[in-house]
Amino acid sequence: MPYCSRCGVEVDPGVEKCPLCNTPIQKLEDISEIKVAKKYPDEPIEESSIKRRTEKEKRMFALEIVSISLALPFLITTFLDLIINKSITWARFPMLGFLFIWGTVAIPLLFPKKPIILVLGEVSFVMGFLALVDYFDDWKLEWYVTYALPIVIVTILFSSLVVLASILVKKKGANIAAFILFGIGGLTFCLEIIISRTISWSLFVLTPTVVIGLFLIYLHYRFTKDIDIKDKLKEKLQI
Amino acid sequence: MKERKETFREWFRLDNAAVIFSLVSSPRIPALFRLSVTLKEPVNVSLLQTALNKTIIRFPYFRVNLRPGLFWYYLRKLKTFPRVEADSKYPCKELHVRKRGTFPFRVRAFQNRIAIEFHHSITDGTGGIIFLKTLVVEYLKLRGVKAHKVEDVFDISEEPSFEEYEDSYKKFYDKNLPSIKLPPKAFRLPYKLEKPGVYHLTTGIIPVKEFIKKAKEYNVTVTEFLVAIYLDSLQEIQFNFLKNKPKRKLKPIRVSIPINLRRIYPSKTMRNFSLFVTPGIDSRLGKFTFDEIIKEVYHFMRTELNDKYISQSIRQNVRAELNPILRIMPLFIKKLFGRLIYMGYGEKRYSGSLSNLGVVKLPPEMEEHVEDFQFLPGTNPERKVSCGVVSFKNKLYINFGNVSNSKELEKIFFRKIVKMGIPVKIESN
Repeated sequence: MPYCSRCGVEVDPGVEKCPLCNTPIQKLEDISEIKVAKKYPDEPIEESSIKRRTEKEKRMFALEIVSISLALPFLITTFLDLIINKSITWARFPMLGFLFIWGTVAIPLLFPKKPIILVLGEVSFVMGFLALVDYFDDWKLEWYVTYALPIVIVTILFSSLVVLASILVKKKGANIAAFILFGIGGLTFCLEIIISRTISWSLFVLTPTVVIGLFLIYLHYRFTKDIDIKDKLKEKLQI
Repeated sequence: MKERKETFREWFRLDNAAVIFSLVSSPRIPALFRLSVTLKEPVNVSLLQTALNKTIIRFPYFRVNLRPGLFWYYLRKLKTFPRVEADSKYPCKELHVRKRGTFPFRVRAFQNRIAIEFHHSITDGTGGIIFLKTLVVEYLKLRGVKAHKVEDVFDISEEPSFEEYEDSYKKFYDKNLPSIKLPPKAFRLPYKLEKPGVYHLTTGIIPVKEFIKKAKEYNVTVTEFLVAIYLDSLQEIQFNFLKNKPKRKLKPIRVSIPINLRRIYPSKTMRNFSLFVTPGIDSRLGKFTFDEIIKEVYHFMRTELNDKYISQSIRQNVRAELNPILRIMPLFIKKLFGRLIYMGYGEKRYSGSLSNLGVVKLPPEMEEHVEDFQFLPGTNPERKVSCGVVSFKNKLYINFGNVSNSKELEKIFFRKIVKMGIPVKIESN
């Protein structure tokens, strides 16, 4: 019978390593050809009763639930309006709302990990929704062109810039906070131009965000080496 | 009579120990233990299924499903039959007990071996052994082996008695006893956990006679001797791992030893009826020699294994269940806190556990057909390693279930036994 030379315990013939200390077991020639029945199967079995859904199945399941739970109120409002008024009148707003919710939820479920499709899809949904709300109101576009469209474009632009910059920088830290501050400053600045066509109060937001942001960037790139805060504290406190 | 109802009623309450396991059961805490029998020939699965269908009728309290009520889980009788399943590399993987129609145990067959993994919500080791033995006897009868009646094997033609259903904790509950102070937190193994479901098994097979001879030299029983070696191994790990820590900051080492209360109280229940005693050593005082540990364990076990102390712990546990505030909490809130309480009040206070089921006997005519009888303990992420011991024929089977990534404890434990001059054979999954 083979023994582990370190532990001194006997092991089954055919075992290559000691189960306790992983030391290889010395093989004697006449024993090496004996095959001993395995004590346990080689593979762990998953419970057959539980079927694990794949990521895709989970997403499709979520989409199904969202679609059905939105379709119900959608149909109810539509038919109510049809029954009461014999045509679609007020129901066009809730219908639009349900369609909008469905679209914004469905896009990330249908195209996960495809940022370009995701962003473009969501943006077009938001724009289409706003345009239709404006149009449905009195059958012409009013505030959409002057306010809604530019605000949406500016917001998307700044948030994408912040996200892109945060992804692209190699060392992440205070510089991300600076990007966010720049984004907030720029967005307020543009908002004021869009809303009141002048530049006044937004400067009060823009100046501090830019100054603080620059300071953060300075901090970030000036002190690039890693500081061990624990060690620094120990040094200063001398406990 | 109240208890008699349970024999014909479709549902019954969980016993005191089962309550906590019903609440905490999860992939990390499967709350399972496993008993297995290896025969001398390959298992015929369809015959085993027939034997199981016959046997389960005699054990109606196992033919159940854990169902949620508004305040507690309860057991509901099933009409279906459990199925024999294939075995896995890792035993004691989570059983989805709360799922509708799931039996709280799992019968598995692999080559020559019949194994049953029991969920702790229905029974403890003693009840499990009786069920497995009855199943094996039925199976061997179908294979044409004649046998005499032997204790702890049920006759499947008998009617189950209501005493087998009883919650003996409640029966022996005396509310007038004083409460117990919780022990402080204990040392726990410092290793990282494996993924849920991974279970490293190490079996040490030792000739009983030589082991008893060695234990006699120290004047202690087999369990006490094993506990002493276990404590000594844990102590070695603690002092190796926490070398630089000042001694007074070390946590004490304490192992929980389940005790079969049917030996202390007159009870025939087939459901849980066991409690723990927790011998240990205080590492703050320094390293104990083996002789000192033996002395500690010997005196602790002899003192604590007294029905007075045991009654006090029964009172502690049952009282917690009867607490009116706890009782009116809805089940989902109990579930939220159950795990916290189990870990905080129970598991964090033990460094490990060693459970000795003692000597298992089968009818002598059948023992010829049986190779071994093994007991695999359940384990959990706080304890990481548990030890289950059972002796059958002339061998002592010491099984370590381990959910961490290190087998250091097993290595130290078995090397100590080898050093005493006792031969050890090691198997593993």
